[in-house]
Amino acid sequence: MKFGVFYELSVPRPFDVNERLVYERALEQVRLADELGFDQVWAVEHHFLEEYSHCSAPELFLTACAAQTERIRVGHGIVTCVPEFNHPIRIAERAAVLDIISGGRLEMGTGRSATWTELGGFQANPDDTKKSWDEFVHAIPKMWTQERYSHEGQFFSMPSRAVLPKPIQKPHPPLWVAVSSPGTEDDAADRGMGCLGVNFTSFAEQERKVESYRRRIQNCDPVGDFVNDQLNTVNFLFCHDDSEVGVSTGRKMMGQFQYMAGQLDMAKEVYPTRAYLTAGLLASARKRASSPGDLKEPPEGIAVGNPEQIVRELKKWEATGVDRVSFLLNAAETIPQDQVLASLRLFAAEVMPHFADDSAAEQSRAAAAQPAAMAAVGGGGAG
Amino acid sequence: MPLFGALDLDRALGTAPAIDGLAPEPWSLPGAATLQVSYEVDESAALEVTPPGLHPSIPPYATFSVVRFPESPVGEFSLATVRLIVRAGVRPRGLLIKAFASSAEAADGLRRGWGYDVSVADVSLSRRHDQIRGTVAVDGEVALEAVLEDPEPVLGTDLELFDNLHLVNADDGPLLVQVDPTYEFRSADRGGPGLVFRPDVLGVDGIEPVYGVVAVSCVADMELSAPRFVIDPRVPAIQGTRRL
Repeated sequence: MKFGVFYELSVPRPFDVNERLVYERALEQVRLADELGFDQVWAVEHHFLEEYSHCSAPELFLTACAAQTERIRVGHGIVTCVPEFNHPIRIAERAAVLDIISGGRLEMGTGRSATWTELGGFQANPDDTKKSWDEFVHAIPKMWTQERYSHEGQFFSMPSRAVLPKPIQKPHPPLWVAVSSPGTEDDAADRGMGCLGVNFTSFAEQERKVESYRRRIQNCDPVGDFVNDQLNTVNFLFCHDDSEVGVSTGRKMMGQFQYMAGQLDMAKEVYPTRAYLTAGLLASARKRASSPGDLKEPPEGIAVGNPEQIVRELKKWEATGVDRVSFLLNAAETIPQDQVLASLRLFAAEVMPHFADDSAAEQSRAAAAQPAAMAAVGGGGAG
Repeated sequence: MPLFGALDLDRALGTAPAIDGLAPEPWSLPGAATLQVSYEVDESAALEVTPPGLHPSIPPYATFSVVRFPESPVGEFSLATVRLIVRAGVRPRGLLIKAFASSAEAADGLRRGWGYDVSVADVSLSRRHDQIRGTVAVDGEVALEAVLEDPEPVLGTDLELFDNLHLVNADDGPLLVQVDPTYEFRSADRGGPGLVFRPDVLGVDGIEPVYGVVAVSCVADMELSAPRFVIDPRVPAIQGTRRL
């Protein structure tokens, strides 16, 4: 199993002070994650989502990540494939540049937005977003792989042009779909795309999704030149030697995240459409946000607590067939930066080895030990 | 932390209804025909009418509804409401700004039983093949006209009508009473929204429509039961909510 970090870039008020701080801290976390052997950094594309996410230009954030790291892969998690948000030519161009700048480390996530806050802001029709997403994901890989490309469709048309530059990963970067609504995992499978699960579901539900995905992708009609059959799920991470501190701090972060999410106008709630059958991640988020929970035990499937507890929960994820887990590390700066960095180090030292082969395990232990030793003499971490 | 409302509670409570206990007899309301038009509204104005314990939604929007009740314990009547959609903690709720009923008996029952801030006015709802229209006229002047253009069938379960919150004076202080009718849908439509809104004539503050979202309508058997939850409007709803 591979591990990554995942950024919404949530910002507490006042924004003019904290936006810069959040970006700087996130980049510091990504540099450390790279050193510690985390495999991917993902960044969302969201607009207008006050506090919840100030990550409206993820390609720029990810470019900074790529420039400041050596190994970690950079993931669009996701680019909104709705014409009012992004023209598909610009998506293909920007992604190719990011692949070049990162030395071929791009993971390309796609999606369609789930909030009225965003769809209404761009005056996009919620009825059409799945259709435009479908048209875009069929076109973008061809823009990358064909010398010239032309298209006539419902949501965009173009005469023959060379879409430049081309990504350096051949035939092209791996393609993913953000999955929050039931059934979207099947859309991913049918198109030969990786499943980027962005909601927090039960193991039973996850097992059902994995089984359905694995079965359907056997007969897929891939939109790209190869099939990406990976399943990635998003989780929270706070790892601490003291179980009670780990669980209570982690719960505080989750509660803050879910409380912020609860303030948004989801498409389903505002605009009745069959294109959005559920409130996405919000239904479970609202339930969790209004439940105090057991402060000594981590919520089912959530990576908060001490290393033993986190290993236990992640082993359950592994058993469901998930290939990757990406972690939200903070929410609106609820957790001080030095604790976030310490949590990453402890995770790398005590949890990662349980999921890696022997050489990788030794590498992550060594990487985690070095900065921790520096921190002990005042050389690492930030307030 | 999300923004909290900035309503001057002392001033608002000066005109809020006084509720007569919180255990009214349920009203059975079969065949109720609802039209609801949603518009995004100016945020700073909306904050001024949002109680300090609630959050505005992001972005804030209001609903303008007209409901015709062909049967009720007080006979046939129509009810129009102007609501601001807010968050009680993380839960979406329709904060009642002002209501208008077509009969004095209905207005009295709704005010005393459920804390509706309701006046008597001419309220009507009509349906043509291409349009559903609800109006409120005050002293012969149309002050609210909500329109659904080009109805298109949807499932009733696709609609989110949200429970109400009513600011009232109760025996032990100010309360937000949660009013949560149930719906058994017979039919539902959606369509393009249209709105004529004259807040000065209606006596409504804090609602400034800026962008039409959607219009929905439905026919449903409704039940208006006794309130189950109340919220102290002075503290965050996540702390101030209690079950009755």
